[in-house]
Amino acid sequence: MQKQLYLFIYLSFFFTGVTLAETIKVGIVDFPPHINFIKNIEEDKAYRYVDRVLKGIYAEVEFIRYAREDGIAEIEKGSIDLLFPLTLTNQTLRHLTKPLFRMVPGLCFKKENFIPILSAAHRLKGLSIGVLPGTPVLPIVKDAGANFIVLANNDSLAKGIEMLIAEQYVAFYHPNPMEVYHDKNPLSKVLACSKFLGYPSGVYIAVKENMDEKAYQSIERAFSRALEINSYEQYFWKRNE
Amino acid sequence: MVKTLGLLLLLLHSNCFAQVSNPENFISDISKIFTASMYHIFKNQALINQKGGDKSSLFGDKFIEDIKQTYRQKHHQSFPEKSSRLQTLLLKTMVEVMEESRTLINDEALGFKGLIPAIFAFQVSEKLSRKGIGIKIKFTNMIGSVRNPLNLPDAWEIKAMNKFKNSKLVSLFDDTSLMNNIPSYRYFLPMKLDKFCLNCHGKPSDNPLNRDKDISEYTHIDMTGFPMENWTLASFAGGMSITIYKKDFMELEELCKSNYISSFTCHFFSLE
Repeated sequence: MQKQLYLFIYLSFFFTGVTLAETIKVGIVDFPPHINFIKNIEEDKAYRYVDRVLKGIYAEVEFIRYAREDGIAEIEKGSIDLLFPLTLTNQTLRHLTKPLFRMVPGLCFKKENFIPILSAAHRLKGLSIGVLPGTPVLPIVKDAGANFIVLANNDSLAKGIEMLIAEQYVAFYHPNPMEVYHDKNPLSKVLACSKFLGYPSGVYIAVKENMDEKAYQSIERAFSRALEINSYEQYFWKRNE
Repeated sequence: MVKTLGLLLLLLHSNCFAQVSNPENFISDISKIFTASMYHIFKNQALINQKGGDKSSLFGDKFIEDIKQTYRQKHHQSFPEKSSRLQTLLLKTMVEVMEESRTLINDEALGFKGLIPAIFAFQVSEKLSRKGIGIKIKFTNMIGSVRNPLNLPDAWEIKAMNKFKNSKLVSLFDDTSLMNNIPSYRYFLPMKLDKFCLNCHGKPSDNPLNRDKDISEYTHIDMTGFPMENWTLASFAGGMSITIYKKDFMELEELCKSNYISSFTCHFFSLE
């Protein structure tokens, strides 16, 4: 599949006549399991996917790591060209039309309390659910009559999970529970998460406001085609690559 | 080099023409693959929910092979040999859904995982719609009989279901309808209830959670957490609604004819 991705990118640009330009600066933010700063990000699939698509148009792709807020500040200043992966709930940043991937919110539980099917919303009635302040909670969860415990302003998702393990509440509302519940996370031995299927939201590649239209269009076209033919999600979930 | 490239393009081109189909047959094939996959998921509930053991058959090529086998058993016909791009994509999407659920399926601490046919089907439909290929698959029923509000019927579906209630139609194909004001092919296939459906949708006596219990101790909540509907095998259980925008169907058909880049695009999935 890797070879086919290369082949596709090569052929796409071969046929469309796009030429390689200079260097592009790409900001990158921590977004496990897609981008994991604790490990070597060059092995992360989101890094590899974006790198390969951009190498179809740019001679050199320079990645710079940022904390999310710093990255947003940099792209707003225009000192980097792109920034990813980024949810854009509270931002109005310019971005590529198609999301790189989508994430689905859900609940994490200690295994003994696991609720596998969350569309059975009546099971959430009276359930104590931890949630970070500012997290947009789905109306079906609000309407279910759950008992929300809002964490402190400076708490992180990791703190939310810690408190779940310490049984401060029965469930923790996570904007992307698959960040927690996956094979490579040791916490998956203790926790299990389920998703609110049918409520996906996009994770985007942001673009600097003053990028010239020709450059924007060539990046837009390259990602649009790559995503159509071999989506990042498909690439991510394919094992052993 | 030029000759080789020319030959390659010619091959792709001729392959594409072989795939042209009529929309009704095409949608009907899609619905058959879908129902076979749901039946396969049901047949594998014990494996999915067991704690530990070898579950490799639930993933990758083996999973696809097993769905094809289930298709042959369930529909008493061979699996479409020359799968279209969309059929191939559908099977790949099913594999992706299983892959996304790998941690859950392999979780040795959990018994019931919640990966039942309806949830599997919902995830496949959702994933397909996200791919932007213009096909929408939904399981719906009359208002009041739908468990997930995201599956509530639209006006066309209500009309279609009423037709089934008053006749012995097998399926309904409509090439004159609109969806979101866009001309579409629409198809409705009523779900024939199998015995396994009654585990959740039947009477409390059908509920596996009530096995070996006294009637006075029966729960009317099924293993997924929903109240049971008291359906029998003869009940109307809604059905599968498939919509393809005409322009998208045309595009799928014309992709191969139009230009060579599209030929490559069209066949990318088959090449994997």
